[in-house]
Amino acid sequence: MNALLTSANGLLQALETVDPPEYDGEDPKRDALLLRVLMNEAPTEEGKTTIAQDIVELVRVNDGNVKSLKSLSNYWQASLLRPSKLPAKSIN
Amino acid sequence: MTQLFRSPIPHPSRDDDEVYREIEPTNRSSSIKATVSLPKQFYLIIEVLCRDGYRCPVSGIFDDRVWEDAPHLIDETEGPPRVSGPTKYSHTLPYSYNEFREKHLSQTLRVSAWGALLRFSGWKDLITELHGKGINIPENCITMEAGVHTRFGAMKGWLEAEEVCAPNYTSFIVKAEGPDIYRWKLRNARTDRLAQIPGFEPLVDLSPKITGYNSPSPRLLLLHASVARVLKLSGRGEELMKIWEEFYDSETLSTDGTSHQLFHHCFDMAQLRRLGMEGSEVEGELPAIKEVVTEKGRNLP
Repeated sequence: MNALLTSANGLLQALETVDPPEYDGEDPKRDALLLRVLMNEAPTEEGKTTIAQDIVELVRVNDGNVKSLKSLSNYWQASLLRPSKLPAKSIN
Repeated sequence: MTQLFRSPIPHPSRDDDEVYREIEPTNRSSSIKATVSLPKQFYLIIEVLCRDGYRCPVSGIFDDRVWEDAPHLIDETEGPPRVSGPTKYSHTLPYSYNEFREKHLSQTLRVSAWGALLRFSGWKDLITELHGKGINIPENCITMEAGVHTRFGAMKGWLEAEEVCAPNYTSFIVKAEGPDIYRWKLRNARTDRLAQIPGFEPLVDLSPKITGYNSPSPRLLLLHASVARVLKLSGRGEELMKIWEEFYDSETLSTDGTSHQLFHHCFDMAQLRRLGMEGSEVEGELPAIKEVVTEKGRNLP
């Protein structure tokens, strides 16, 4: 498991070095930070492993392109970090 | 399957039955009746209120309905501050996550939320324990003063387990050490008005104040705290709230909202595929989710 976390951390470090213009004009450090925090703060070893495995696998199937991690960051923001309650008018 | 909670809820003792009768709405004034605006949750509210000693464990503020209508119950408890205020019962895992079986479009919001919770927590049994009426078990609820409730619900405040506590408490009596001791944390400490009270110590004792009840689930509180810490440490909390509010306020492509629905459906289906829920063992565990998504797809223009 440690090897998996180390690999994932290495990929996140690589993501931090991507130039923002090559990352849809956004800051890759922000996504790298989010994925790293998620991995560290997961309440169980299973959760940490799942997140690390997602990172490693996603980059692997995209031929080593760390910019693909943007979709993973978006996934976590849209699902886990989405507010549980929104104004009633917003849910149509 | 892993047991979610430490023990089943025991039947209330004779003394507890008397407490129940004391605050039965038929015997009390209209202010107590106000607590039963949701009749099916009345006994949950009462049970949680009794377990927590009729006060918010974080702020120490007593429930003002009990304060006014059953002051002798307050007198039996110990410790400052002796003030009352409006309280609510907060779900650790939000009640809104339990909307799969209602024919409402917002339920698909919960599909991806549950999937992410299961992956993040690593507790696959979470959904089977909490779906349906499970969301309303007392172990998933805590009495909270209105301001604390708002922060807790928005993940701006959370409770972290404290291994050993110092013996100095000024908020109200907290035992020296042991289980069920937590520390109240805030995303932005400057907004903590409780901290402005001289000598306030944000240690929280969640142990039952009346025997026969179970404490709030440490596992659910850990999950709540983990998500809240992610929002704080990643610096995404405030920004994400703003993005989602703007997103839902918009009608995307059409004024009648149909394109909005289509977009939502595509978004949720993509997330289901991402979760590997098609053709996996998870599929068997979540028939309600698949039913919901399929139903929503049929309703699209």
